[in-house]
Amino acid sequence: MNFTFSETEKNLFQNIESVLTKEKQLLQSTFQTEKDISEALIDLKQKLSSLDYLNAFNHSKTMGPVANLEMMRIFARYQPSLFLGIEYGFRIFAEMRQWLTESFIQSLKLDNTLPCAVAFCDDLVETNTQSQSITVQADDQHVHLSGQKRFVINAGISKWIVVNGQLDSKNALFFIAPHAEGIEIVPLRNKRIFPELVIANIHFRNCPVEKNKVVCSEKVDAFISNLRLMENFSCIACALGMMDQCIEITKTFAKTYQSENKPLIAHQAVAFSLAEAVTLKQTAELLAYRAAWMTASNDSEKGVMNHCARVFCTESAETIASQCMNILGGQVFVDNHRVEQMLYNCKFIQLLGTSTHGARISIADVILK
Amino acid sequence: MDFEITKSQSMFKKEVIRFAKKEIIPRVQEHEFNHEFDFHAFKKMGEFGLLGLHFPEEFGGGDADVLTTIIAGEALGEAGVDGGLTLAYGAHSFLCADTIFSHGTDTHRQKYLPPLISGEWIGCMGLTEPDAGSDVASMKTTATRDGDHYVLNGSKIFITNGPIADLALVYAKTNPDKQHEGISTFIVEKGTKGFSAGAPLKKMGMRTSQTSELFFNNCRIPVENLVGQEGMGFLYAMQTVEWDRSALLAPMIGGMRHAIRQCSDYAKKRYQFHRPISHFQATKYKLANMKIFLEAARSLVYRIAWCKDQGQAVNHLEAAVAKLFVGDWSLNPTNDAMLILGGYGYCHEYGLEMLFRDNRLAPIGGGTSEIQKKIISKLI
Repeated sequence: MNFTFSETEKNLFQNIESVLTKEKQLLQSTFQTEKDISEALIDLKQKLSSLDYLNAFNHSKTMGPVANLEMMRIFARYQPSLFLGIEYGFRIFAEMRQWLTESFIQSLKLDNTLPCAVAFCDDLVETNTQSQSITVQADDQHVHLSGQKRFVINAGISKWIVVNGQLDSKNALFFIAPHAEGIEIVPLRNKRIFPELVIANIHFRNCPVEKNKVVCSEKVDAFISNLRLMENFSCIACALGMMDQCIEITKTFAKTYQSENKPLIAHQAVAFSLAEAVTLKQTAELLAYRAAWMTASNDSEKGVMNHCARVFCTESAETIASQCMNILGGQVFVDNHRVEQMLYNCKFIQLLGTSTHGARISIADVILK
Repeated sequence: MDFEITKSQSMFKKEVIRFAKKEIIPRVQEHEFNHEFDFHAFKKMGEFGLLGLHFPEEFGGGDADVLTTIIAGEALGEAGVDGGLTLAYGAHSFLCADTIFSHGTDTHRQKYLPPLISGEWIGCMGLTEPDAGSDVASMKTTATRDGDHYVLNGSKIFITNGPIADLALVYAKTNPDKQHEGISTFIVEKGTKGFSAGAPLKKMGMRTSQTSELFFNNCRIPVENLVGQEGMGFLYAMQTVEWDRSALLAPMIGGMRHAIRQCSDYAKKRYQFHRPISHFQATKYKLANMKIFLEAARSLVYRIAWCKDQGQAVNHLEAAVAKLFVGDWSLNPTNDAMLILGGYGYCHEYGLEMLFRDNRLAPIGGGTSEIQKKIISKLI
């Protein structure tokens, strides 16, 4: 066993910190339009490319999943919305590239310079591994999609939308350009979660997709299952990053804010509440690291551990955000305070994709086998 | 980072489980029901090598690293060994014997470690007093130097193995004017004049461990029985904290795994509304929460073990985090385990009410949860 990061890994963390510190202005910006967000993602993606950070969770030559997870967490600590935008726009796409054939990549010119959107879940919360909301009809040259996908991250700013549906009773992936015929993308603009993350509903009305842009093989199921694993790690890293920030903001406040002629942290209830938050954070990070390590080791329990970490990290993040709000008091409701924002965000990452409900059921199913 | 358990550790864990199922488990219920200590099992643990696993071979120990020792504790819990026996084992091996090994003289080690490691002798540690629990520095027991002797006066309470111990490691003030710096550590053998133990206390859980008061009434012990240096007792006591928060927590983690297996077997067989209760989401939620707790807690406890193996100094923050998490967060999943078995869970025969009662000690013994929070908040 070894509970420390190597010097090489520590250097990687310093490198990403240094890239993100330089981009502080961008990371703290409030974006007015989806185009602004898209440009920010492309800009950040370029800056991060040199770090091997986006080279897919399992395929990096310079680091393993545990170090990669820590880098993801550092990014999420700086800006959770843009972090998720990069995750869904580039990392998951990079994962997909590992699995697609080179000829397919070239025929679609999948160059990985613009963000991508993956519309695998029918809704925010996935309850079924097979898409129920998309109907597919085929003719000689095309397949025609009808139905809708809701809460699709990066839809509206992506070069490609990859849609999951059923073709001949098998899972299939459809690669669709966002301006294709029969597609309507409706951005969710008044959402309370992740303000700098573009989320939209997509409606398909007999949308034609050329057959050479359809992937339907036995590998799709394995890919989707792997993608869910990746998605869970994105949520886990996001939760860890937000925990870090919540605790840091609250600790600073508790040390400087005076109440009854002493710093807030000198009051036992406040100090104990922060101690509980730190305990949850440390426990969550170790569980997350172990889950990532098990993924790297292809451990037979990697799926269960991934779910355990997803549940524990995202729920602990909510508990911490709530406790921190209690300490921060009234000021947390002023000017879109980051900790208040995190409370909403935590709920979103509990629900996104395989929700904590779904994860618990999966964990229990393995126990009961 | 690397979380791998070696093959030999894995095999050893299986061996311990096999041993426990054969030598301990058959009598757990009876002993627990009667509030009795299982001397036979304890002796067998000594013979198997568990009581001295981490001590050097020259004293009869197993020369194992801390992680292996933790895994052995986890295995005992996983086999279904009651918390009382593992608590007695912890108090004996870690709180008592380890302090003698770490801070005693060669004579102390030669004289006391072999019988403690073999299980011929039972050890205990006397720290807590009626008016000095979390606030150790306010202890009233004194050790006054009188020529070649120290004279001990005072009393201790809640001492695990107190009534059955052959040897007590006692903390007393050699300088009552000082706080922590006035505390020293002494070996007091059973039968020493002026030393006696009270009757076993009736407890909610950990019933097979024998807990009592210790009384010192002009108890004269030779100066050679001072462990380490005068005034260093508090530091020695705090060094046992790492064991308190790793080895003593490990059986609880194993116990949770045992409970998951028991609950899962039961849920698959128990039919209600024409289907097994394992089909109900409420049951699945409980099982999942138990598993999540188990995995989260295990990482924390392994980390302390790893830190100790690296020879790092007392890891106050990590140790306090582990103790707080296991102590406070174990209560819900333990309750869930009992609830899955419903009425049967409430009955002694099924063992889960014992786990429930045993685990209630976790936020109290070895430093309360409040003390852990105090430590953590200071360090952040």
